[in-house]
Amino acid sequence: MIATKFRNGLFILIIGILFYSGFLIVNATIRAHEKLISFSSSEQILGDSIPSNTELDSLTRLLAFREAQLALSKNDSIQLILDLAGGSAKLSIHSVNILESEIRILNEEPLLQTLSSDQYYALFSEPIKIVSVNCTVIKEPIVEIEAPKNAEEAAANVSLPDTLLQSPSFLRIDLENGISIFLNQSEMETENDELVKDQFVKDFHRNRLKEFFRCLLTFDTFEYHPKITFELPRSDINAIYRALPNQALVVLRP
Amino acid sequence: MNFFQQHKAIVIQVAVLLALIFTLFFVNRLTFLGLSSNIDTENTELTQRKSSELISSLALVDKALAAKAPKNGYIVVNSAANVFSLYKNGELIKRDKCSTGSYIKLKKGDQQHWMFKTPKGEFRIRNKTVNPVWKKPDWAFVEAGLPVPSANHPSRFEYNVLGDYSLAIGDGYLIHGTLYQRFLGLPVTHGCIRLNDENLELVYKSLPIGAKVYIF
Repeated sequence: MIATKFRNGLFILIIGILFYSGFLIVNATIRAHEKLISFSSSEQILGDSIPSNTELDSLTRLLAFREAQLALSKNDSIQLILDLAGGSAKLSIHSVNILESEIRILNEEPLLQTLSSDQYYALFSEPIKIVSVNCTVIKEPIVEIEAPKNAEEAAANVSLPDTLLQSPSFLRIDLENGISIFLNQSEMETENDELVKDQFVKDFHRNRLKEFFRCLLTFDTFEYHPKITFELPRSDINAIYRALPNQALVVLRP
Repeated sequence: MNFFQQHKAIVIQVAVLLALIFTLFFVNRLTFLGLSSNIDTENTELTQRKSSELISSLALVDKALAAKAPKNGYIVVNSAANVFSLYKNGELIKRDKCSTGSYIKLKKGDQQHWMFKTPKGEFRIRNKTVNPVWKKPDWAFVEAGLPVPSANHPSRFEYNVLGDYSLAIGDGYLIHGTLYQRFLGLPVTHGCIRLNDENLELVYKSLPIGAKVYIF
């Protein structure tokens, strides 16, 4: 009798947890959409709402991209332009593209495809702040050396050039509006490349899972992050990561 | 009767609902949220007006962007890959190896240190020199394990080590030549940008004073 009651209780608990998990995930997705929209300006482009039409949609998206580039060109630092529609990642300063790299999109967030022209324009016609950057290579490969005491000791000193460019490069950029962008190196030549990639991705998912369980236990709101993943050459990821300043901006054209 | 048999219908309904939610979530079809835009497209007049407004806005923005492009030649230095690109009239005319800062931090006791790093950002050619003479800074002596001489001591001046030309970009940083051409393509400098003789001459002759230098 007690065993049956315990089994029934456990069953109800599992159903409850599953239901709450489902609620958390769906709620997080809705919140992510709301968060994206909350970054949108209330002003509509050119006054009226834009009718849905393929030609107008593409014109609006192009205009949003160009206006964001123009706004970015007023900034004095090196900034990032991710043109997913055009298949390129660029570093830019004062509208001069100083690095251009061809990208291959691996995964684009379906949530971003559901935005109307108005929402898209409001969201992507301004540069977006980067809130955090994580990479598998070191930002500044500084090597500290003590000054030699005399000429003989100096002659014996051998300084090693930066070999970190050969390290696997995987970069994650988290934007202020909740979008996470993954830049994976296109060269997967060694076992170490695979290992580092797995570790990098697993770390991200482990942290997300931890956060999910924390929200489950504390009844907090779970945040869903729209995700974009693409690949480009390792040397370009290194260059992008090392060039971006502390308070970097991104122009994104999904 | 156990719990499942007693509440079979409710359990099945909850399970179906959960399955539905998860299916909808994992296939990433969020149309049930009403996110898709289905605005009426019948108003062709409004569409045409919008289209022409968008095209003229685009033209204005493109014009503003084009106006920002450098008028003269410019050079772009990729310090992560140790490659430079020289542009003239918007066209790439040369891309080749160079050497940039080594990221070595030279420390002398707790008080003094020097960081051999090429600065990043936008710079200008401040002045150009033929047959430059290198006035060795303090770190050159510290690095060599030698005593630092007075400011204008003859041992500070070295001839024929910077190549035939140098272009100053400010704060003591130069684009110059090198005796160590085998190190081109590697980050080995004290912050300056080293080119081979041929590229140095091309850059010197292509870039006037005031030309932009972009380093990243």
